Amino acid sequence: MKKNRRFTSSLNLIAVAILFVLVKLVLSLLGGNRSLENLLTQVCYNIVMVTSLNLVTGVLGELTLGHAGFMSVGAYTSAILTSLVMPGQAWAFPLALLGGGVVAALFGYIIGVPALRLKGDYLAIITLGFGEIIRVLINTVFAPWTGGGKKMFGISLYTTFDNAYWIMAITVALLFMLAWSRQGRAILAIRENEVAADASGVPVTQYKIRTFAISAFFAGIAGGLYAHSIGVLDPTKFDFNTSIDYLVMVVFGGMGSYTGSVVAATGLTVVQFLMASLVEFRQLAYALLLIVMMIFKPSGMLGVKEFSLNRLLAHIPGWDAFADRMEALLVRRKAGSIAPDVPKYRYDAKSIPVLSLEHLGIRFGGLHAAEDVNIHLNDKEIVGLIGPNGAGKTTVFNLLTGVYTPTEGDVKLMGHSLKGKHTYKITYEGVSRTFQNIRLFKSMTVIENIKVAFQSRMYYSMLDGMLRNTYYDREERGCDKRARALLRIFEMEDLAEVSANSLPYGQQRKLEICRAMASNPKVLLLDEPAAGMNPIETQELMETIRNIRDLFGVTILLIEHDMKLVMGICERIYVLNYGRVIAEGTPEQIKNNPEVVAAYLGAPDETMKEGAQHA
Amino acid sequence: MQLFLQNLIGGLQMGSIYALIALGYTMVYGIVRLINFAHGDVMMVGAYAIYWFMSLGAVSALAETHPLLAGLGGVLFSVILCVALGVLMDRVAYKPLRKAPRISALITAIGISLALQITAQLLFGSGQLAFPTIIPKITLFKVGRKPVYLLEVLTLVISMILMVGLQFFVKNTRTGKAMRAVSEDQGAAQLMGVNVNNTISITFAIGCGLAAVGAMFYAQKVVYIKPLLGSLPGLKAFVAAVLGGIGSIPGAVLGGFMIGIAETFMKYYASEYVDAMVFGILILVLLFKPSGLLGKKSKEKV
Amino acid sequence: MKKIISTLLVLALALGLCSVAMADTVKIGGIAPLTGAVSVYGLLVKDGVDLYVDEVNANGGVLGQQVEITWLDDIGDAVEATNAYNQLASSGICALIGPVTTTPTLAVGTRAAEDRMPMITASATAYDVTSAGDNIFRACFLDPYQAELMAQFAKENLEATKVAVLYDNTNDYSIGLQESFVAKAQELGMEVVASESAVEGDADYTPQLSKIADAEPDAVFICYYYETAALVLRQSVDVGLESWMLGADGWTNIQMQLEDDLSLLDKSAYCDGFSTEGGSEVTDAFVASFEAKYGTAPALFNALGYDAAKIMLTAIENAGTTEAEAVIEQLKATDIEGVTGHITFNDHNDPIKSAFIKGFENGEPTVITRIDP
Repeated sequence: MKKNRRFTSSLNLIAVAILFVLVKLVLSLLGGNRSLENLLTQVCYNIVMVTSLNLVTGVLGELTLGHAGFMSVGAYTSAILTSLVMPGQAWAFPLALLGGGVVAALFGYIIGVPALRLKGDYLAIITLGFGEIIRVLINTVFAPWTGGGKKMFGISLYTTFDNAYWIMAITVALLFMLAWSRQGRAILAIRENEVAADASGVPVTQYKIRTFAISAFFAGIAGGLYAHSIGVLDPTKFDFNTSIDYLVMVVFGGMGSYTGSVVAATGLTVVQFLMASLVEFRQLAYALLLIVMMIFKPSGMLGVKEFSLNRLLAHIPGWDAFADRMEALLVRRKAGSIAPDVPKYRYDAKSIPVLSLEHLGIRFGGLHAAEDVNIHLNDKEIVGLIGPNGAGKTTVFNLLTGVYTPTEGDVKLMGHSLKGKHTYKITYEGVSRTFQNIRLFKSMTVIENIKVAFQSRMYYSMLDGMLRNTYYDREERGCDKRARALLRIFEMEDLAEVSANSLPYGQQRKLEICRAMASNPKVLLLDEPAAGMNPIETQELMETIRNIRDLFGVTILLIEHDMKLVMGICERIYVLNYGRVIAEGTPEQIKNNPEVVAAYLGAPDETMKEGAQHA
Repeated sequence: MQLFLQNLIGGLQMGSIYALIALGYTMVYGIVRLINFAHGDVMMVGAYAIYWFMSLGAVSALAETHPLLAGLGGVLFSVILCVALGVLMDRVAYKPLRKAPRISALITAIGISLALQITAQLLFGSGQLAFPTIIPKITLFKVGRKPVYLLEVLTLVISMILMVGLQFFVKNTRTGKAMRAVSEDQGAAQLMGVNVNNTISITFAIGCGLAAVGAMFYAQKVVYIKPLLGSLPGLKAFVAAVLGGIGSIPGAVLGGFMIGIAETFMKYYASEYVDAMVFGILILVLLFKPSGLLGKKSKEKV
Repeated sequence: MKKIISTLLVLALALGLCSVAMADTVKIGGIAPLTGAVSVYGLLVKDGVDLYVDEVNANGGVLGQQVEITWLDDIGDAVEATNAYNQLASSGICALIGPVTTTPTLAVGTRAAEDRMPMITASATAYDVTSAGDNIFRACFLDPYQAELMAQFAKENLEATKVAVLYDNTNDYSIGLQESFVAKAQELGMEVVASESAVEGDADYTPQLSKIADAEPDAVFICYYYETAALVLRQSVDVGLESWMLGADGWTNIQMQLEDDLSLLDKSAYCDGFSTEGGSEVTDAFVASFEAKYGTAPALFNALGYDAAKIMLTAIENAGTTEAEAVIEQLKATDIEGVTGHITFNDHNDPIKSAFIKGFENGEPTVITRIDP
C-alpha cells in the first residue's frame, strides 16, 4: 500500500489544475491563438487514445492492430447522437460521448470474447480484421446514418480544449487508479505470467475481456472528441495506418507506462505538427526516428517507469514530514480495515479424504499420459509423489488444477468434484500450487506478488477501484496487513518492496510457496520445491514445509526428486511410472518395494521410451 | 461454368501472387515470430527495381528488340536487390532486437515500411508509372469472352515451381533443416552447431527474393506501379499466411490461393463487401481452427 | 516537464508565424495537399493560383497593395487541414483559397463558416462542400452536373439503351457521379444493367469488369480519376469488354497514362471543365502565360486554381476593403470571364458555367460538344 495516498492524489489534482490554468493563461496571453489551442485539443484526445491502447497492449500485454476501429465506432456513434438524435443540444454532448464509449466497449466485448480465449497473436489478427470490416460496414450497411464514402459532416464542434483537457485528465486518472487496484494487479500479473496468474485465482480470460472492453470504451471517447473537434468523419481516416500510429506512440513511450503514453502522445503529436514544414522529409524523419529509437531503446522512452510528483518533490528537505502531516489532516476518520476473506472449509475429516483422485486419466492423441490414477490425501497429511522422469507427475498436477481437463475419472475436493473447472476456480475452492520452473510475476515486488494471490478472496469491484472509495480503501488496507503478516511468517518481510526477479533462487522458491498460501488453500501442491537447492537450503525448506502444515493446517502433496527430502518429511508416498501408480505406502515400504527400485534403475530401452514421453 | 472458369483463372493469378508474398511472411514469422510489416514494401521495391533497370539506356534499347531478355535481366537485378535488402533489414534493424520484446521489432518493421515507401516517393514521385511489358501479351485461348493470356498461365506455373522448390529446399537441404531447427528452438539449434543468425538472414533473403518475383507478376498484371502498391497486397498476403497457418509453407500457398480466388468471386458477385469478406473468412477460420488451416498447434509447457 | 517544453516549442512556432506577417499586403491563405497521395491535384491548383497572384502583383496588386499568399500542406487529411486553417486564421489572413479535396474542405468549411472567412475551393466537387455557410464558394462545377451531361451524351450522341457504372463506394466524388448518372439515365429511359463498386487504387478490376461485360452495356461510366481510369481501360480489354467508356473531369490527362497504346481511348469520352482550344481571349492569354511560366500546357486543375484566385481577388478589389462581409457580398455578385468560361454563382454558391465533352483523336482530347448554361 502506498504511503500518503490521499495526499498524493490531492497533490496530483492540484498539479493538473495548475497546468490547466497555466495553459489557459498562455493561450489568453497569445490573444486566443486558435492554432495552438486546437493542437492542444488534439494532444488531449490522442492521450486518451494512447493510454487506452496502453492498457491493452502495454499493461495487459495483448497486441491489437485495430484500435482505430473502436475510435471510429465512438466517433460515429457520438456524432449520430449529437447531429441526428439530439441536434443542436449542446448539453447532449457528454451523453453522446458516453454513448460512443459504451457502444465501442460493446464491440470490444463482442470481439474480446472469442479472441481473448486464445493465447498468442490472435487478438492482433482479429482486431486487424475488425478494423477493416467496420470500415466496410460504415461505407455500406451503416451508410444511411454515417454518410459512408460521402462523409459525415456538419458535426457540431463541441470539443474544446477545456473539455478535452478534463476528459483526458479523468481518463488518465481512472486508468492510473485501475492500475493500483486488485484488478490492476491481476492484469499486470496476467502479462507477467498467465499460467501463474490463473493458478493464483485470477480469472484470466474474464479479466482480459473486461480490460479490452474498458480500453475500447476510452478509444470510443477519444473518437467522440475527435468527431466533434474536426466536424467531418471520413471512414478512411480510421484505417490500419491510424491504428499503427497510435501503437507507435504506446511503444515509443514505453509499454505499460501511462506516463510514457502521455509523454509520447504529446511529443509525437507536436513533433508531427512542427515537422509539417519539412514536407516530404517529415514522414522519412519520423520513420527513421522509430527505427533508431527501437534499436537503441527497445523498451521505449520510459520503459515501465511512472512519473510521481510526490517522489519528485520529496527531494525538497522536510517534504516527507509535511506530506505525513497533510495526510493526517486529510484523513480525519480512519475507517477500519477489512482483511481478505479466509475461507472456512467445513467437512467431515474422518469419513472422506480431503482430496481424492479417482481413476484419473488423460490421453493426448494416442498417448496415455496418465491412466487410472488413484490418490487419496487425508487431512493435514504430507504426501509425496515420486517417479522417474516423464512418469506423468506434473501431468497429474495439471489435471488436478484444471490446466488439463481429465478425459477419464474424477478429482474430488472434500467430496465435491473439480472436474472441468477452470484453474482460477479450483484455486478459489481451495487447491493451490507452485511450479517446477519458478513462475513469479517477475517485474512486480514481493508484496505485490502476494497481493495478486488474495485476488479471489477480495470483493471490491473494478469501479470501486477506479474511484478509490471506502470499499477499496478498507479492503486494500486489510490486504496489505495480511500480506505483510504472511511475509513475516516466511521471514521475508524486509524484502517486501524488492522486485521478485532480484531475489536469490532459494528465496524465489519460498516466495512462490508463500504466494500459494495467500489464497488460504486446503490443499497445497508443490512441484519439485527443492529443485536447484543446495543441501542447506533443502534442509531449511523441509522445516518450512512442516511449519506450513502445522501453522495453516493444510494438506500437502509434493513432487520431488530429492529422496532425502521426500523420505524425511512425507508421511506417505505414491510412486508413478508410465502414467500409472505402481506403489503406495510409507517411506519405509517404498524404499523396499522391488517394483519401485526396478522403475528407477530401469532397463535401458525403457528409459529411452520415457524420454520421448516427457510431457 | 464459363463464368466459373473465368473467375477461377483470375483468382488463380492473384492467388499465386498472394502466395508468393505470403511465403515471406510465413517463413519470417516461423523463424523469429515477427510479423514483418515491411514485407509488402519489399515487393514494391522489387517492382521499382525492375522499372529502374529497364529504363536504363542500354537496357531499354535491348528491350526494343528482346523484351523478354531485358525483362529477365530486370528480374534478376530486382531479386538481387531485394535479397540484399532483406539481409540488410535483418542485420541492421531486427538483429539488435532479438532479445527485446516482440512488439519492438514490430514497430521497427513499421518504421522500415514507412521509410521504404517515402524513399520510393522521393526517388520516383508519388504518381503512378507505367510498367514495361516483359511477358508479351499473347492470347492462348478464350473462355467465353475472356481472353486467357500467357501471363496468367506463366504466373501460376512459375509460382508453383518456386513453391515446390522451396518446400523441397526446406525439407531436404542442410540449410533448410537448419531453418526448421531454428524455428523449433533457437537455443537448441545453436547448441547443435547451427549458425542461428546466418540461418535467419537466409530466411529473410529467400522471402524477399520471392517477393521480387511476385512483384514482377503483380506489376505485369496491374501495369502501373506506385510507392504504396505494396501495402494492400501485403496485408492480404499476411491474412493468407495466417489463414493457412502462419509458419507453414504449404499453408501460405493454400491461404494465398484461397484469398485470391475468394476475392475474385466476391468482386464479381458482391463487390461492395470484398474486404469485409476477406477478413471475415480469416476471423471465422481462426475461431474454429486457431492455428490456421495447416498450422501446428503450439501449447505452452506448464 | 516535457509537456511544458513542448508547449513552449509550439508557442515559439506560433509566434514565429505571427511575426512573418507584414503590414501593407493583402494576406491570403492557401491550403492544398502538397505531399502525399493526392498531392498531384494540390500542386496543379497551387500552380494556377500562384500564376494569377503573380500577374496581379505585376499589375500593381489589389487595393493598391501587393498580395501575399501563404501555402500550407494538408496531405489531403481533415486534421492537418484544420491545423493549417487555424494557423492561417491566427496569422491574420483575410481570405482563403482551398482546400482541394472534399474531406479537408468540409472540415475547413465548418470552421470558416463560424469565422465568416471568405473562402473558395478550386476543385471540391461534392454538393455539400458549400452548404456549411454562405461564405464558401467553389470554382468548379458539381458532380451531379457532369454526370447528368454524360448520361445525356450516352443517350443522344451514342444512342445507348443499356448503360453500366463502375465506381468506388468509399469515395464521395465517385459516389456523387454514380448516383446522379444512374438517376439521369433512368430518367432518360436507359436501362442501368450493372453498377459495380471497386476501391480506387485497387489492383485488379477484372472481376467487376467481366460482370459488366456480361451485361453487355452500350456505354460504361467509369467514375474514377485518371490513374485508376487508365488501368480500368486496360483491364477492360482483358475481359473482352468493348463498350464506349465514359468519364468525368477526373479523367483529365488520362492520355498520358496510355501513351504506349492510345487506341484504348478510341471509344472514350469525358466531361471536362476546361479546354485550351477555341476559347476566349482570356483563355488564350492564360494558356500562353502558363506555358511561359511552367513550360507545360495547363490542365483543368491549373485553370480552376487560376479562376479561383481570380474570383477571390476580384471580389476583394470590388469590395474596396478586406473586410469579410463586404468581400462575401462581392463574391456572391461575381460575374467574370474566367479561363474555364463565364462564371456567376447560384444560391448555393456553385458556379454556373460551361462544360466540354471531349473525345479522343489519336489519343489527343478533342472537344465534341460545348454545353453552355
